[in-house]
Amino acid sequence: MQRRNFLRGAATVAIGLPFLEGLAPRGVKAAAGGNGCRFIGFLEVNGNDRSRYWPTEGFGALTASAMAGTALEPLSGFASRMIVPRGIHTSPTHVDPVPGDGHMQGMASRLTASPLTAANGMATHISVDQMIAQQLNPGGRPALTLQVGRQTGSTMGVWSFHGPSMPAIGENNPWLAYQDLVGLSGLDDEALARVVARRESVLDLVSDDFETLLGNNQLSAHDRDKLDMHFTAIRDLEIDMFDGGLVPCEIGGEVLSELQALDPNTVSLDSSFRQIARLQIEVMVLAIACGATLAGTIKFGNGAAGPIYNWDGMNHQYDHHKLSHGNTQDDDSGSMIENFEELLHEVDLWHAAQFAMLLERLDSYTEGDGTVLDNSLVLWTNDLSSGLYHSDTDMPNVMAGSCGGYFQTGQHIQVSAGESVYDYSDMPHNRLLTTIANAVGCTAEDGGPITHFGDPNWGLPGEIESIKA
Amino acid sequence: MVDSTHLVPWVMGAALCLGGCYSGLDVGADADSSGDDDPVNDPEAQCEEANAGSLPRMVRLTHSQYDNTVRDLLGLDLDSSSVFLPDPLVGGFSNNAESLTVTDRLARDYRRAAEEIAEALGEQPEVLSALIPCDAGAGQACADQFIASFGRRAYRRPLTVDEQAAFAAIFAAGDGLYNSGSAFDQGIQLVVEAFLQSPHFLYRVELSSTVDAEDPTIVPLSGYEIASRLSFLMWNSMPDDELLDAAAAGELDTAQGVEQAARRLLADARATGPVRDFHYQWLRLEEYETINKNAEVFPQYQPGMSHVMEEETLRFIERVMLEQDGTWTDLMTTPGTFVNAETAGLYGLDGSNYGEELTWVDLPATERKGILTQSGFLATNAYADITSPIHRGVFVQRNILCAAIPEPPGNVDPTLPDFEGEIRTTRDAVEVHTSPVSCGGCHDSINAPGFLFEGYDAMGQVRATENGVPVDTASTVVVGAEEHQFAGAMDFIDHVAESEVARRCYLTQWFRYANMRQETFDDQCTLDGLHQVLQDTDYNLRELLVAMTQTTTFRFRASEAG
Repeated sequence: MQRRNFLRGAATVAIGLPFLEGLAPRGVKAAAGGNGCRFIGFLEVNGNDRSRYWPTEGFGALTASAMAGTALEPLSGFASRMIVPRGIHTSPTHVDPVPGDGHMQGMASRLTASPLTAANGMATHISVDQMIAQQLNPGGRPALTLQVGRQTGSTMGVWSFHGPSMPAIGENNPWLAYQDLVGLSGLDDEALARVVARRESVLDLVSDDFETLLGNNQLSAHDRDKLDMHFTAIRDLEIDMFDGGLVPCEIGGEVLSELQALDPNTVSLDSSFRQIARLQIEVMVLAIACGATLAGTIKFGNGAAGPIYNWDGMNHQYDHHKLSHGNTQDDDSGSMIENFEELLHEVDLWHAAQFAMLLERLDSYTEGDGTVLDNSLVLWTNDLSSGLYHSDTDMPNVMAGSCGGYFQTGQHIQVSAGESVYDYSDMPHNRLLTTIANAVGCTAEDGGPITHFGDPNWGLPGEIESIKA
Repeated sequence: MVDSTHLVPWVMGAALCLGGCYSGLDVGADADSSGDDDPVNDPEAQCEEANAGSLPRMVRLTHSQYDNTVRDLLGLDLDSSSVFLPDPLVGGFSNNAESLTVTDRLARDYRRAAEEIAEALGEQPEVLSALIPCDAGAGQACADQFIASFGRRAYRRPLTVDEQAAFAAIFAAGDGLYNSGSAFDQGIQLVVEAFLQSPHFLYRVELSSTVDAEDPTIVPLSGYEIASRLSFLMWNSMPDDELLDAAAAGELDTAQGVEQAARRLLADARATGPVRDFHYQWLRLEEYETINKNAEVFPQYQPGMSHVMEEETLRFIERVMLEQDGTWTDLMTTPGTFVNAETAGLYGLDGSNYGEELTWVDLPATERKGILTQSGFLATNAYADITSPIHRGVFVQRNILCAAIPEPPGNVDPTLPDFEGEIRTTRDAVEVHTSPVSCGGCHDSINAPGFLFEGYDAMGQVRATENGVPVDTASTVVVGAEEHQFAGAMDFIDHVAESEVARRCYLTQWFRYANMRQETFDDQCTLDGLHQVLQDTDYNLRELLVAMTQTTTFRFRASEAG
């Protein structure tokens, strides 16, 4: 990454366009809300091979040796900066009378801690990433929602929600996501000036339309909210009219060439999965490190689906969902896949390597006394724990970064009070989300800390004290 | 697409079957446990007065409406929305008015599309000049004419004086802002780029607020607002000039005028758009893509077949419902379908007699009738080697009869018992597997209609035996609040073709699609009224669509929603 060319901005000034004075500073500054900590959610789907997922050597300090030979091995260099909390279960649970199968419920509730509706299969609460964004991002700009692989607006494909029944569907083309962040790139000054002038003309006209409509007292609150969300998005676009983008940074070199060369028709395909994963990580790091957003998510594949892993030493015949059930058919009607646990372990290891890549990239930016990673909480989780049984106890939640010292890292710890980590006891996953929301600096309506994130009818109040510093 | 979606594991392990369905007669009224309230089919509910219902004043175009509108407005078929963030799916339909919002990502998609469309106009001067109603040499005077005529089509109403002036300024600013082209053309390009990003283009805006002189609970829509409702229902696209002229002339202010316009739109080729779109969504044709068969059991299976089957179903619907002006009964019972070389064999025909193109064939009415006997439906709702009476049954209960069947609980073991001992057929296996009392609440109503289709194998081919045993297709099925005995699928389909429960379900699905919202208790009277009218037409599709336009909810807004 390199700093943006200052001269380019100067050239824009030289054209003498009259609107420069109106440029709001909020978009090009690092976000000011919160306490400097960011949240990134990282979702693998279809559960794990649990036999080789967790650290060995029991609970206590998390060490590289305890991670050797497990799915977490690629992360062993970060052992002292991670927490592996155990005994957290999904809430609502699969035995609660709520709609949806394990994948649907696991996906929709993961960041919302709410049941989904039977009528439309969508979560009934805002997700933690979007709540952080609404409260703390400049102008309440939404969290960055990225997808690796096929996009879908259905229940199996959404884990971030702007609000009840308002899915935040992930962008699966990193070039489009990147352009949104950096604004125009690679144009000569004249061409740039033309684009900027066009956008300015359009924005003037459209802003008048929005303002007139918002001033119409016939609109319902819902209409007004919807229109306001759209108008806010339009005004955010104002910033990249000046080639400033949402961030004062850009990606250079080979990665930029790679982004530019992406074929929009192939970004969804399995054959692109590995490349898209790496590029989405680059885009997420850019957005987080350069202050475009305080929250973002990357989701790999969709529940009950997923690619056929055929790269990085994997040579699979069946897609991820089939592997998770150890069966050659999605509906379990085929024959058993003999070595499916080994293949699932390979998938877990691969996701761990992607997670490690994300952590390394975040760690490469210094910030104050530490790095961007130190001032973040990065969560690798899943819609299920065991894909084979669609189980939701002892959910995989691998946390990295201390959120500026809020979390006590370097632990492999049972956080639940139950005898077994598989018990449904005192640790519904909404408590993890409550902890994260407070760590990042979200507040309740009364200005105090969040006491019970998610649907108040489900889960339990309180943070998870044992993972805090 | 490479990803596959699994069949939801409906088969429930014995200990895990939860409540959620009342057994027997009361399917559909179980609002508490499913959350899927179905007031409109509640025979106890009383109807008092047709209600306008509540719809947002700002309804964003769906992505297909955006593409269709750009096509009809500009003569450019760009499929711009293919890179947009997808529309949310709510209750099975992608056009739910409340959920169609514009987030930051979609705002950028709109800007990107508008810029690309303006650029395309620069590259295709013949397309641009076709939009200009006057001599470009007249400069601003001609631009003013263009802005007025184009603006009326883009905003689906005449521009105000202020808007006209604002676009005139945009036109004047355009010169020099594109890579090439005359000053006039560049001005036009910028005008188009701006129109395509205005909320008046991206949303269907309804601002009428004066309550009706006779009924203070409703607000009559303006002629232009009615014109948009009509064209987006009948064409999934913008109104044409004739419809806007009718709005201007006040012809859409009466029910008769609306009916006349509706009939004209339905006679146009564009009417196939929403008819295909509705049936695609209602029949969940996107799930055909998940068809995957065991090649050892079904050597005739080809991976690309699902696309042929999808088009087969859509062509059947176009032919029967539009070209032949068909009814619900025709949809259910017409004995024939479209086949090509790849799929003919599934219907007992010799594939070598057919080419790649789909060809209509008549089929024996003793074996095949309507959409429920098409191979796409039968093969989608089946496993790779054996049928799935449970999936077929759930589809019939939910989509054809509108019964409220909840999702299965999590952690179910979907594995049917092996064929051994007493278990010799798929039906046996399903009966044994769902025999625990706790499963019966739902499975009594699910399995029964599924068993009717056991005369079709997992590829949808007619069969008399399974595993050497004659198939048993007889079953007693819950249809709404009654039980009926059937010998098999043909028998059942004949019943469904005349069934008020099924017809009313089809109507309800159309109501959701046409009004872009889920029905509520307040819509009971509207649905009752429509049902009465449509029964007299045997549920003719054109009459159904025309009747939709005659309702209070279509022609008015609810005044309290303002």
